[in-house]
Amino acid sequence: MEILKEAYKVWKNPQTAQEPPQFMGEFYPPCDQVTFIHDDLKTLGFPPGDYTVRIPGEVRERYALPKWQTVRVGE
Amino acid sequence: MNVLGSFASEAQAWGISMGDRFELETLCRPSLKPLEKFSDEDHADFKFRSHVAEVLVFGGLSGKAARYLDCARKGIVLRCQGDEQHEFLSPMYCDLRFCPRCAPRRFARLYAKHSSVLDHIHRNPIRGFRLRGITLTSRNTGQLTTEQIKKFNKDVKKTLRLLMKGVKGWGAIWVNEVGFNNTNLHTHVLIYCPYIGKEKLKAIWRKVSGHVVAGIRQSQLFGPKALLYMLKYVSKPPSDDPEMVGRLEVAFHGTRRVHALGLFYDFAGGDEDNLQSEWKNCPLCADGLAILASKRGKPYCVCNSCGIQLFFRGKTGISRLLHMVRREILIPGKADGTDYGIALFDRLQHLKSQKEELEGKRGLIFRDSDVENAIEIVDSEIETVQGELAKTARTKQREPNK
Repeated sequence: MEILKEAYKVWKNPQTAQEPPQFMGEFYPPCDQVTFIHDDLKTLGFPPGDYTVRIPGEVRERYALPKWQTVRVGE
Repeated sequence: MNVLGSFASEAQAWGISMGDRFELETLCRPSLKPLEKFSDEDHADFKFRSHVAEVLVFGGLSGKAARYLDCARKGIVLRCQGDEQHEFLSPMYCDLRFCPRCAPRRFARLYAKHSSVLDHIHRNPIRGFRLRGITLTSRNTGQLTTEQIKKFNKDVKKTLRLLMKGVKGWGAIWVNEVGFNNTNLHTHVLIYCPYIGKEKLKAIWRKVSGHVVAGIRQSQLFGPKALLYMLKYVSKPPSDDPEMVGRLEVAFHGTRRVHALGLFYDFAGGDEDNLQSEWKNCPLCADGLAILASKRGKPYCVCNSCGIQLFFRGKTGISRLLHMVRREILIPGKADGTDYGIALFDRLQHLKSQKEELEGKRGLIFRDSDVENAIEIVDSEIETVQGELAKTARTKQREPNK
């Protein structure tokens, strides 16, 4: 993937109303993909659960993608 | 830390905007229900609103246009401060007069604001006075402008004042109305007054405004129902044509649609929604008491079951009463009721917040003796109320053994 001004940001969805979303860090999808799929997150070592990904503005504009993406990582 | 503060620091730490932080909050919560899908009805509503918004923008009201378009489409998430931290979505409304969603809400607020005066009239009738309905109509020019509406309302006011010259205790409320899908501006007046001849009314209306059509009839309804009947015009949609709705909203911009005079004027004081007009309790039976206005506009309370009447006199006394009601520091004098316990607890909470407020005024290095004295007084009051609360609780516990 080419160098972007901002990276993809990933949060783990909270399980309860009290806890905030957990920021997992900044990542890029592998092999020139423009969005993450569940296997990508699994490869990155993320535990099972739901994740919310914020797609960078440049990618969104170029590929007409929504700002947010939800990915579920299974067992 | 409050929610906004924590959101701001998180947004900064994660390198995203505050707006994105809020979006993330709604997206990542599994407890929040997904939004409903857009139905055909929603599409039709959106099309109608878009058309109205265009007319509003053309009329120079772009802010109102955005509000009208987004009415109940956006909202804010409210979170309760309890352990469970329940979350609720509160829609944001446009609150415009001719919005089909907000007009009934405005109607409810107006009804709450003005119904207390009708109660007052019902309880304190004046000999020869009745509730009457007047309709005053202007010539339909095919156009409706703000100036035209303002002049019309001035004429209505002048006419009513001329009609009631020398009469005491009268009051009126009127609503501007237009015909369905046309610009026939007229008004419905609910007036509490002695007999008025139809010819006299017509003559004065013609002299003041130049218009000829006016009618009067005695209201068949009594008390707040008469008001309900008249204010229904506020909740009724005046048109099903978006162009017309937009033009009406532009014409009524900066003018009131509902006006009050005499007894009806400012009856609820600064409390527009009439929310604070219920006093806590009767000192004898702990029944809820409403603050009523006497013929001279002075506040008083009546407990019908105990026969107690409380009068508040003098500018200082009345302003102190209003101040105490607004700050909720009135407590009933009953010494063994549940309500009394709750009232004491309320008082305790209030005193604690007052103490915190005073402590905030303490200087870091130099102490102000006045503030220190005030804190001491509040402290001793807290102790007294705590003692009273404990005493009431003990009395209440012993009651079943009697």
